[in-house]
Amino acid sequence: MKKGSGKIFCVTLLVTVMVFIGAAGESIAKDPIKIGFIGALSTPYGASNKASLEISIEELNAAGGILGRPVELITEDWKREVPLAVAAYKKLVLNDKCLLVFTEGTEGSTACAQTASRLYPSQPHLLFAFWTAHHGFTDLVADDYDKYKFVFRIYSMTGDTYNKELGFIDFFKNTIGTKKIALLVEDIGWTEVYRKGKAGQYPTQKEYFEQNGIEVVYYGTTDIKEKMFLPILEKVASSGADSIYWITGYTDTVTLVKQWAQSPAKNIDIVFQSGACSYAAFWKMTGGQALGVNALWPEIMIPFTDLSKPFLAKLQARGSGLLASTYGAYDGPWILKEALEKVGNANDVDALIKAIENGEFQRGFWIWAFDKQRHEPKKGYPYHPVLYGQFQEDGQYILVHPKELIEKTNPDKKFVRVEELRKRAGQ
Amino acid sequence: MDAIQSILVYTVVLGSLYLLIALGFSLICGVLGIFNLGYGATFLVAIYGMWMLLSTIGVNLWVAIIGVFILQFLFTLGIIYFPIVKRYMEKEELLLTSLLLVSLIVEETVNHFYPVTAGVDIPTAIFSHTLQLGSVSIPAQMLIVIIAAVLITAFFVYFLMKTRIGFKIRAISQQLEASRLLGVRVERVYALAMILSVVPPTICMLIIAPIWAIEPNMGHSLLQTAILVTILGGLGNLRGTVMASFIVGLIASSVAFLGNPRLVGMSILLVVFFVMIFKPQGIAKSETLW
Repeated sequence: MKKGSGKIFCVTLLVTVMVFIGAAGESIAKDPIKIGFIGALSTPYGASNKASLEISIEELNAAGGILGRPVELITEDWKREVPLAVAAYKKLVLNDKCLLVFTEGTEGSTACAQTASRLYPSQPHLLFAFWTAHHGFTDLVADDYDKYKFVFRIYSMTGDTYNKELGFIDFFKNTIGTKKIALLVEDIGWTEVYRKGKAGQYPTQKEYFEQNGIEVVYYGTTDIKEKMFLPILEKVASSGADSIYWITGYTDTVTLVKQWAQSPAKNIDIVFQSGACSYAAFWKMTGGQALGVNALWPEIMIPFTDLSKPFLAKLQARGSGLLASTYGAYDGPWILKEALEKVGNANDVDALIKAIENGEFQRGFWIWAFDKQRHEPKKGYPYHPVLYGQFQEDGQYILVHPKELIEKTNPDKKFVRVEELRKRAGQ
Repeated sequence: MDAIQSILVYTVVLGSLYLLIALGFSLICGVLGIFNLGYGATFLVAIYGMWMLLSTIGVNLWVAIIGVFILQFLFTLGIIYFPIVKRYMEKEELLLTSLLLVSLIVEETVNHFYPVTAGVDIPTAIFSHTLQLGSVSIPAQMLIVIIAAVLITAFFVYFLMKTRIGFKIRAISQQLEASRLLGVRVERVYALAMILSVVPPTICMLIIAPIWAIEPNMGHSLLQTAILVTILGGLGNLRGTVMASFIVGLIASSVAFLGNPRLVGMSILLVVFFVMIFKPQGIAKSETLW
């Protein structure tokens, strides 16, 4: 080989290597940031969460992605079976290398968090949980921060009832005017705190009402499979209650409302915790018998920001409804974006966690800020609120709590007692 | 005193309701001697068939009511009786499995086309006010349930006791082979019994729809009620079914008004369990349907 050709060969090799390294670097930079979602896709919640995440990520990519990288959503169906959720979680973290995984349900999210704690040292990532209301879920973070620091709840929780910032008692005492209440609680795991309280932290729901000057004149637990509510309503009516608070989640609120509307308790204001009563379609589902019904997390378009309304239009175009977890599903990917862009890279997950703990984030709805000990969202508008709605004439779903948001949503409408609504409707 | 009045009123109300739910199941037990695990689908066909006719096809209420009965007869003969019951009458495992499968397929189909969020509502409320009976108030629509239960039971009793075809049905329920030898066309009687069995649940669903759950999995709890009442009454004995319905109504209302409404379901299950242990033939043993 000639001396000159050796030099040419070395230069060519060097250039080739540099080109390859550059291309590889560019390829790494353009690799998508992956977000996983484990949802019960056949349920209204799972479908709404999926659609919301898709919309959020489409908007995120249209805005340039995160750190210049596109974002990819990978969805898995857990069919509300915990083993499927755990298997999906391992796949999303180990095979797909997701940086953030959204999980649903207390049992699914808890099992995933436990699995994630073993994966985290070798594959650091974040877990955002929604549709996970059990107050004890974030005990994981509070009890063993180092093991569960990657877990954040982006949802409301059962303990919100006791949070004065959210005005639960104010809603009953001052909005409805409750003095004597009938309290019914569905007998299932997630309502444990309401039935038994939590030593040193929360009283029972009955004690809480009584501590705040509302007399509980009837108390009972109900089976989630119950279909015949008339005897209970008969007893409630004879108890002297002026309001009913029924802690529901899985109870058939359609049947319950149909029977309430034709029972001696029909003029007693009724408030539900959650269930089908939160859907705008509940009016139709009950054949218009939901007049006066109040429910937590009503499917009402509230203009938190300029993005709220366009988002809802997109969600409805995909055939999904606005449910309690929808807010976190839409805002969640943007929390990741803002935090990652503060950190500057996607490799330092510990720094990312600190950025979320120390930051405030807002996209379509309220401001998200998380406490450092439990990773619970800060509560009380303009932070995470609770919302109550009431069905009024012609099935209009009116926001009746909190006051600040009523002004934004339906300033000319307010809560009306059911007896008055029935009089107006000629019933 | 108020509690006693409540118990009495609700015993009649709930008893009538349970009777309408269980009568058809009991008839099939008595005549064909099978456990119709596809019976849950009957309730779905009644409600969702009605909704399909009203909302998807767009016929008026009366046409829809007639249409839903025709749909029920076609369903029970065309999907339940001829392809399954007649074919697997002697092969019990296949029979029960197939009936259960049909019920699940109907449920899945309904869930696909009319999920719970579809807002299915059957406008068959005759009354929408409450009715005061002494110190007790009940939805006035429940009065229709009581009247329907009395009329349908009276029709069944008359039909079985006084008509020629009723004699044949009772004969088959008592001595199948002897009836066949005497010239009774058993398959025809079976088909007729299948048709008759869907009448009470269809009427029941149309009446209670305005105050009852309408959801794709509603068949499970209604089938469970039908099975419990039928077992308590003595399998396939209509007189026993009538008695059992009101006994279950009495248990339900007594536990609800004197004790804890949360324990109603448990109390009924316990009573049926002990009857099965100590009186497995049910409360009204009889060799025929009545």
